Amino acid sequence: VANVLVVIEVANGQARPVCLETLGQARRIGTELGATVYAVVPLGRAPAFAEDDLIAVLSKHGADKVVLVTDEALADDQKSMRWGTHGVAIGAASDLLPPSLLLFGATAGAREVAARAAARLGAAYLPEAWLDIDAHKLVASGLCGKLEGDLEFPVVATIPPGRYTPAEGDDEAEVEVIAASGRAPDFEELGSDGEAPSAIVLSSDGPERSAAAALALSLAGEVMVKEKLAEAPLVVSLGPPLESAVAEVRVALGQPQAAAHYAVEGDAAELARELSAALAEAVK
Amino acid sequence: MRAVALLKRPSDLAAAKLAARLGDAIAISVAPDGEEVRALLSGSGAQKAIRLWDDAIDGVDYLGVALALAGAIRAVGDVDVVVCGDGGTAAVGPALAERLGWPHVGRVLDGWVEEGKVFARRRAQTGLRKLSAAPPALLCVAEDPSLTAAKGELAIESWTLEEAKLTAAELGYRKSFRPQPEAERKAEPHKFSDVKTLLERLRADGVVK
Repeated sequence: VANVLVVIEVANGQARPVCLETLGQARRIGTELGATVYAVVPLGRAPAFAEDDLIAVLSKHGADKVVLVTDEALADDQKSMRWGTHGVAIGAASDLLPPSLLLFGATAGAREVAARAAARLGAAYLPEAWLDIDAHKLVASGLCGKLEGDLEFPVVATIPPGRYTPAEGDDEAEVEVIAASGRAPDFEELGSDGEAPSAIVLSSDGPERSAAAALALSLAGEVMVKEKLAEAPLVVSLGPPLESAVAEVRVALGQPQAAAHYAVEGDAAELARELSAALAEAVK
Repeated sequence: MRAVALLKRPSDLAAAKLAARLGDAIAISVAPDGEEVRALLSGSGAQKAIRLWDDAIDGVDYLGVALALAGAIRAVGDVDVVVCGDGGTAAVGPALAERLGWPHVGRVLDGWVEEGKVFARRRAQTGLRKLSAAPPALLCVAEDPSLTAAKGELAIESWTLEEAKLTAAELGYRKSFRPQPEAERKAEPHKFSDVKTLLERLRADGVVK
C-alpha cells in the first residue's frame, strides 16, 4: 500500500463528517503500513488566503497531503456528487497519484461515483467496507466479501458514516493544487423538478404511530409502514427493520439495528417526540 | 429509441418498466439458466430478452460482469439508453457506463424521451432535479420492491461470450479481483446518547436543515 487517497466531499465549504471519519481510518492504515495519505478535494477553486479552514481541518484529521483538484464545474458545492460533475477531478487525482486504496465516505453521491472510479482504475470494489490491518497487511471486507493478503491491484471502497472515528493530530499537511481538465459527455442539469420527501419515517401500526407522524412532519418527510426506498436521503425507523445500502443515512430510534448508521436507544415514541421538539426548537 | 434493461432480481423490473417507456426494450440478464431468470426475462415486458452466461463469467467481479455486458450491448448494436437497477452494491451500472464511455446518472425515479433526448428525474440533496442527455446514456433507476414479473411468453435468447464478441481471457482475469465470501460481519450503528447530538450529526451530514 503506497498511496491512500480519500475523496473529500465538501458542502458549504465544510468536509462531510463521514469523509473525516474515512480519512481517520486511512490515517491509521497509512501509519501502520507506511503509506502516504492524501485528502483529495474536488472543488470549484482553490481556497484563497484566510479561507484555509478546510485545509487545516484535513491536516488535523490525518492527511499527509491535501490535494485540491479545481474544476469550474464544481463551483456550486450544494450539488450532489455525481460522475458527470466530480469524475474528471477524481480521475485527475488518481492519474497523478495512482492509489493502492481509494476511499469514499458512503454518501449517496459516492454510491454513484465510487464504482465508476473503480472501473476506471480496473480496481476491486468494496462498498460499505471495513478496513483492518492483520499481520501488517490490509484486510478489506464489505457487502460483497473480503479481500486480504498481498493485494497486487488497487482497491476502491466506501466507508459508512459512524463506522470509524476521525483521527486527531496537529501535523501540518502539504498542499498541492491541480487543475482538472477535459470534459466527458454528460447530462445537462435542467433545474428543480419538484419536491421529494426529506425523510421517510418507518413505523409499525403500534403506539409509536402518532409520534412517527409528528416526526415525519417535522422532517418534511413521510411516514410509511413499508419502505418506499431511495426516495429520501434519510430513513428513520421506529421499529421496522432497516435494509442496508438503501438510504444515504439510516437511523434507528428505540432498538439499535445492524443496518442503521446511527441509533439512539430507548423508548422509540418518546425519542421521536424529542426529535420533533428539537427540530421545532431549531425552526424558532 | 432502443433501450436495454439490465435485470438481476425482481426489484430490477423498475428498470424494465422504464426501458419500455423510453423505447423498444431489450432485457438482458447475466445469469446461468434457471427458472427464476427465465420468469424474470420473459415477464419483463421487453420485446426481446437475452440471457448471457458463459463458464468464463462464473466468479468474475462487478467489472467482469460490466465487461461482458459492454460486449453484449455493442453486439446488440444501436443501443441508445441502458437502464439498470440502483439496488444491491449498485456497482455494475456505473462500471458499464465507464466501459462504454457513456454518461450515467443514479437515483433516477423517472425518465422519458423528448426530441431525441433522454430526460431523467432524479432525487438530489435538494429535492427532485431534471437532467437530459443526448444518447447514448445510462440510467440507474431506484428499485421498486413492489414489482413482480408478469406471466410472459417471450422467447429468451441464450448468449455466450461468443455472441457478445468477447473471449474468456478478456474477462477471466477479473476472477482474482472478486472478494471472497466471509462469515457475515455484524455492523454496529454509531450510538448517540440523546437526540440532540444525533440531530447535530444529521445536520452535519446535510440531510436535515
